Amino acid sequence: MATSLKRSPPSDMKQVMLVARYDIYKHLRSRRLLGLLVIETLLLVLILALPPLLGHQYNKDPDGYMSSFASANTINLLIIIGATLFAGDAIVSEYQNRTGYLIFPNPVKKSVLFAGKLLASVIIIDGAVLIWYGVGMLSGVAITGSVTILAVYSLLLALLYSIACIGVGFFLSALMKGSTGALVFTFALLFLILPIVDFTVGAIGGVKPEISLAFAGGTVGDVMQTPYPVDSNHTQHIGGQNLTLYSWIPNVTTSIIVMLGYSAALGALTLVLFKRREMVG
Amino acid sequence: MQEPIVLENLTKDYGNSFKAVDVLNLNVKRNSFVGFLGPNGAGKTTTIKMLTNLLTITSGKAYLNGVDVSADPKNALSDIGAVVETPEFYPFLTPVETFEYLGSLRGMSKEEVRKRGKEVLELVKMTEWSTTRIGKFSKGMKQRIALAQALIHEPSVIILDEPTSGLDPRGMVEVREVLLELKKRDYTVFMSSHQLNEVQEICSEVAMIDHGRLLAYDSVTSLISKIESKRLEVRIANQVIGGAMDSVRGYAGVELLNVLTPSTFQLDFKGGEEEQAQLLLFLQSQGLKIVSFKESGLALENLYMNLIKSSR
Repeated sequence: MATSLKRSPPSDMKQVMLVARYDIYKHLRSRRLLGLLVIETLLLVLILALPPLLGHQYNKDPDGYMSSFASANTINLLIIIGATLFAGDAIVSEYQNRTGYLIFPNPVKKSVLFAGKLLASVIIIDGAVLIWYGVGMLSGVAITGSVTILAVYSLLLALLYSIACIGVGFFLSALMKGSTGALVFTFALLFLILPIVDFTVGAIGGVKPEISLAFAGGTVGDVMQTPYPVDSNHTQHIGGQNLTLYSWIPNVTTSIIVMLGYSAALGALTLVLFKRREMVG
Repeated sequence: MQEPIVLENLTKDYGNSFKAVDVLNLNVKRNSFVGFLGPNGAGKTTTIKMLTNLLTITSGKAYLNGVDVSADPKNALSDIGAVVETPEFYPFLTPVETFEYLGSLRGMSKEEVRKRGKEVLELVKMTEWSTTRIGKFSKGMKQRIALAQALIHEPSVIILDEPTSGLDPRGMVEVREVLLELKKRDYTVFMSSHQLNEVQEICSEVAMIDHGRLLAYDSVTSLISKIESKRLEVRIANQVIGGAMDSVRGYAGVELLNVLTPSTFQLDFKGGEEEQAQLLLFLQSQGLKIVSFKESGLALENLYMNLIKSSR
């Protein structure tokens, strides 16, 4: 005889932790996490091994040394790859892979699933960011003898930038119908489209792209420079015409607000879309 | 105690005046095994999806154990086990890991999940696959694991959406065996199906819908007893004789006669058991050497076809 035990499901907070735990476990098993760590290791090996291999000296200035770890080509790229892999299809995969039929008829709110998945992505990507800066700072101490507070500022900005990028990934994963499209579009938007728009609007158009996430993410590297760089422009003669190119530098405070804004607004939009999305087909 | 499943004027409107479920009312009694029947597009899966919070309800209410699914899905679904469509699993997790995940979300301790996991895997005959990644499983194996996960927390109500759909004959038999096992226990089961034989064999009650509306809801025996016309198949040792057939056509209660082969014919006959016995004597009196005289097709199928026909 079956005897219904009428259990009470755990609290929302406990369920968030459970969802996050199993999401990380799934990423471990699927080798996505391993993939990110391999990419991170390769990038670190390149930064650490390239100067001696090319016969160059390491930069002996602590901030100069850390700059190679805190540039758009390195940490920002790693964050974008992480956001693509761990946020780009976080929501849509439950629909496209039909795992939603398994998970949604459980006593767990969609907001809890969203929060758990978000937490898992943040733990994984920010874990990778912390490893990155940890290796940078430790090797910096070993090579230059010290690490300045600017490295910590850069780390904090990188963490904030990563959360905003995760927000973009989650939003696209809630909006799009297919996992592959969501993954490709997340990467393309963060790595190509936003920087191209920034260049077009900013460098050529002369409008400072302060609301762009890619532009705000530039502070991760810029903050390592002393003094902090300033906006500039220069005019070139191209084809008999004068063309003024602008070099805009993101303001740190504005960038923090922009990144927080992206995180909050896209997080809220994602939750609304996820709650409204139905398991059709 | 609250009724396990109550639908009150449940409606799902997809716009363009298409209502997949149209003011559906249903009250499922505790410990009943209800078959939910209807043709493709009748609204069965839509109803089940609204019940399990996979689709939003346009209007009306759905209650599970007295809790409004729309207003408080977490509590409403806390004592429910569901298999909707053919769910997919996280391919990198094993059945045991999947049970641990879902069980913990439902408030089970690790020890409970371990103990119940063994029991349900045994029930669905998947014990030897407990630590194999589900990504390697066939559709039939996944369906059995889907049933197992629906049962692991010993819910009082089990909702199944075409549990044998897409399975090969062996898979169907295996899943039916599990369903029959469930029937022996005191679960309330609400199961949609296309398989009328399955419903007639397993279910104690049947709800039939078409165009999102309820056509009939009663016990299987009661519904079958309401069927006035039976289809009978007759096989004879000699050949069908034209004159005899004309007499049979004219016999009271015979509504339709189809000659299938030179030695077989089928007739729709309206009457009780006594009238049926008289018909047999009449056929013999017409010179037909009866080899077999039996009801053809399922009683439920006949009723189903009649109801669907009249609803269109």
